[in-house]
Amino acid sequence: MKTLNDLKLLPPETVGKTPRIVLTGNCELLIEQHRGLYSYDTHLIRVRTNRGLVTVTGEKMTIVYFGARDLLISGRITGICLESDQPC
Amino acid sequence: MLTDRFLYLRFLIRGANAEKAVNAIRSAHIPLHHLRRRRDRAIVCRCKKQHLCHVHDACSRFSCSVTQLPAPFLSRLLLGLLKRKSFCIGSLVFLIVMYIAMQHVWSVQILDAGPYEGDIRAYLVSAGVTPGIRKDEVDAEKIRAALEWRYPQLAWIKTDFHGVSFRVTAVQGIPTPDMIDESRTGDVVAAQDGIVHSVITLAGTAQVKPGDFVRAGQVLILGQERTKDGGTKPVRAQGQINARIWIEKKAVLNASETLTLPSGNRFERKVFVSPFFSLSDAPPPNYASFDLESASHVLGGAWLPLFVTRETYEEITLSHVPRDTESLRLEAARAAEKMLLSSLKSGDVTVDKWVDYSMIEMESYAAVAVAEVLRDIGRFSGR
Repeated sequence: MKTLNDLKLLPPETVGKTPRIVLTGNCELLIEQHRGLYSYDTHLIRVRTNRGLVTVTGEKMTIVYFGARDLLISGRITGICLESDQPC
Repeated sequence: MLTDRFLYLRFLIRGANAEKAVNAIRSAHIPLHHLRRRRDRAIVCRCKKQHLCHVHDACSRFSCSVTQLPAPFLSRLLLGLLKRKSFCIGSLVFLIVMYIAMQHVWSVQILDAGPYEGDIRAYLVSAGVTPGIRKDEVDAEKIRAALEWRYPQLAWIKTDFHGVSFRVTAVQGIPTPDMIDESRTGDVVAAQDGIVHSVITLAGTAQVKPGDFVRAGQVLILGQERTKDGGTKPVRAQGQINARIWIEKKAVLNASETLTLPSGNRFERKVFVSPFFSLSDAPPPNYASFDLESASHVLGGAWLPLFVTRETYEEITLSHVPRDTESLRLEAARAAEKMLLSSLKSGDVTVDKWVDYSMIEMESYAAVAVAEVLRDIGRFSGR
């Protein structure tokens, strides 16, 4: 799989468990390949991924969908921070 | 149950390890929806009813309590409908009946056909286009072509379906004027009696002069002309013969009018009307004279041709009273003048107009409107 990834034949988020974060405007945030919630509050959400902790700050945030692999956050998002010490 | 796979439940997770409980639910591959943190630190979320037991298990492992909340609106609606099976079945049957009804023609409309409406309707009946026939059994294009062939006087015909009606729209044609055949010889004769006012001869030889009294059919311009050698040659007579003619139109009105006085007796009934039959809750009353007021209400919307008509019969007595002579005279005069004006042609010049009145045996009142007009009374008569 790593060889295929190196050859860039397939998107990295479909190979292995690379997380993918997609922000639409400032109202919706999709996190794919997450590993669960670390903490949840309406103004601060922390999500575990295999690359580190994703911290999302905002106001009146709700988790519209919380699945085994994907997580969709909606609300007024003011900041996203990835705390990771892993190389690419 | 099958409904557990589609119904969603709302519940509350309360506890210090709510996030861990949510992660455990996620690890069991149970998706949660609309997670929201409340002020009291509880998490409100939704999941399918079939996963509720797993949610309880996960929460109990992390010492969290699960409280079920009222279901979302759509789920409550679905549950309510499922409890009313007869309503669901009835609605389904109604929709099926409506759909089947829409596949049929329930009325045939003929628009703007004028005097041809009766014939067209009879032709449609003979072609099988009657209320109740299926729409796919009616070939609108074929019927349109057949009607165009049968009625060349109609300039344009359109056939289409309008809802559950089959509609034939026609436009009557305007006949073409007679073509003038220059090679045909003939005379100009009088179309009606009159006194000649002016003669303009364009071709031929005039036979009358101003002041002459002419009869209908009398030759006014002879279709002959002198040649240079003294002979005559036949030509097509042309010209304009203006003559004073008199046109009369008579209007007769009743000298008495019929007044209706209600006797106070009323009768109401309801009639259920369909294209094939009608049913009523009572027969009509046996009043000798009555006024009838009816109001129709449509059942089943525009797709089902079912109506309920409410009929109100009011018994009346009739009495004949003589009308006021002055108003009668004015009305008769207006009617006669209106008839006279409609009979005038576009090129007529009105010289004089008056109205004569007469009473006929105290039962009728007659008004005769007379107009003296100048009109071209010449008409070509070929040989």
